Amino acid sequence: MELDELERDALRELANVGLSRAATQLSELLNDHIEMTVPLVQVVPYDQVTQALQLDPLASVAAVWQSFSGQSEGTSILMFPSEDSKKLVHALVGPSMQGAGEDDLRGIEHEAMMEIGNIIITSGMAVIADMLGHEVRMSLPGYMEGNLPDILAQRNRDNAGREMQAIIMFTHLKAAQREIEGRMVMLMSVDSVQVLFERLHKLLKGL
Amino acid sequence: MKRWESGWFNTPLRIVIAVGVVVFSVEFLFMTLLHDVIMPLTSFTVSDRTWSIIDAVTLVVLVSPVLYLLVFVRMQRDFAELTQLFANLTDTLMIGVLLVDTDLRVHRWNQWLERKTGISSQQACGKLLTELFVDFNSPRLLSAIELCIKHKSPQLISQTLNRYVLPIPLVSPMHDLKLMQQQVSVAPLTNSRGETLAAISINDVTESVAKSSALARLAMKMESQSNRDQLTGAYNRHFLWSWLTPQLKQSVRHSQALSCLMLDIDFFKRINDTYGHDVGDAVLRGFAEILHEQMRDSDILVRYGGEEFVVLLTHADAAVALEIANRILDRVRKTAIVPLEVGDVRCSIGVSSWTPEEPCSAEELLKGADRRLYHAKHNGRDQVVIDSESPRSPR
Repeated sequence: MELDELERDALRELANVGLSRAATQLSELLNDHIEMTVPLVQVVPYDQVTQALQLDPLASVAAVWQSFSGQSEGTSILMFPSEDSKKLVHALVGPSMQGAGEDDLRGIEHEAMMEIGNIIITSGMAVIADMLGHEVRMSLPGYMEGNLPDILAQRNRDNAGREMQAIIMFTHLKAAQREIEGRMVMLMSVDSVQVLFERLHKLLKGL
Repeated sequence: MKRWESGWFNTPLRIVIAVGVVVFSVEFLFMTLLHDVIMPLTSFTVSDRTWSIIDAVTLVVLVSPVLYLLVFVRMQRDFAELTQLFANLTDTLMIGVLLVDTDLRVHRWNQWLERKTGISSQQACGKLLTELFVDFNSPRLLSAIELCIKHKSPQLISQTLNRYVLPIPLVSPMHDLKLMQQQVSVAPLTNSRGETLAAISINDVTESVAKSSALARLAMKMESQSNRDQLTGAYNRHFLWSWLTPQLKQSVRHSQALSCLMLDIDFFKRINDTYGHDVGDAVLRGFAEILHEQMRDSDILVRYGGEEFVVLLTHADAAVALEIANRILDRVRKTAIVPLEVGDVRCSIGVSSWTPEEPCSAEELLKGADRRLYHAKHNGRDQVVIDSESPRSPR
């Protein structure tokens, strides 16, 4: 599905509003000033996701996912390079991790990332649900670590064979004097994406 | 008789009864007409077979509402039992379960919570969380409830980023913890009227938090008590003193000399500033390796401070110590410590000795070496100083 520039800009703006809300929540939670922006939004067919994400397919990625159901079904996955997510968590919850062993650290990282990802995904999906104009029910979040093809293969087993589209939000997160480039991928049916863009179109016409 | 209170006389049942009544009345009228009016007046007769069919239809029409009613009542009772079972189920769980609306008003409060908080379900239901806990202060729970109800997205609240959401005092404080540590999830629950409540489940993780902080303290203690410096593998100061004191006693007993070299890498700060700490660490490791190569099995290497090392030489008088010190100086000059080149790293060495003729305490031994190291630095670095009297290099 091709997006014209105006539509892409509009979706990016909405995503920015959604994620700045997430940043406020995170700032409160982590007692730190956190900024989140969405510099780029793309919509691509499922088979082009790997390419469009612009991530090293061999590098390890930390991913938080939540599947959604209702009138639209699919999965939202938030990804950060593992190294970055580790550093971020260390910077944010450093004091409570002092003296913790390697295994404890992994547990703490997973938990913290899952909660942070949960907040970001909820905000991102709220934007999409608003656009779709119907309720979207989210599952509890899950955490995965691995390379990109593994993560996509695992998360999309249920929807294999179905015609899917991916909305990719490139996210830029600034926290604890660090800048982290993440990706939020929303895998959903072609029909849902179609509805989304019809709404977007109407919204733009109304302006 | 709660199940009779509402909805038992529902629409399908009403329709079945109404249809039954209508069909039965029509049939009764028709029968009366047929039997009492039409048949006596005309020659029309009805066969026995037809009569029996008519009787059967009448029976079905009469019996079906009664059957339906019986089945329906049974279903109602099962449903009521199931509802009660589910209500009781939350009471059997070993986690806290409560239902709240957007205003934070409590709609359900399970037994676990009654036990842990001392607030009964009766007291809790209908009250606001802020009324139940005067010092309630969890913006995270507030936003989680909002996100959950508004966006139908469950929220996880981990003990890593939030230690607790409800301030529940512990009956017996564990270590330094006075409040229950919690791992919480908030999930949306929509009732038949379309209202969404937030189902909050609370896991008590106080014990594991206490355990892991106890382990962390233990790990820290063990690290400080361990004998080795992690970066270079050399012994640390703690070990130096525990080794030196008994060793000196042995020297006294057997009249054996013992020498101490104190070494310092020249201009180490400059290396750190120019190439960064990673290179600085590599230099420290490389330097310690060179020292190890020149030592004998009975000698020990100690990282004394940042870039300061101590080598303790057993059965070594000043002459042997000087020879080893010079060998070290020579090796350091001629070795390239990656990523630096040959000659980039130099060191200064001060030497002191304990001999039966000139005994001294452990502190004096180290102080003596330190003083000579100072002289070596003062005299232009990259040298060994062994003579305590004159600040001139012996070489």
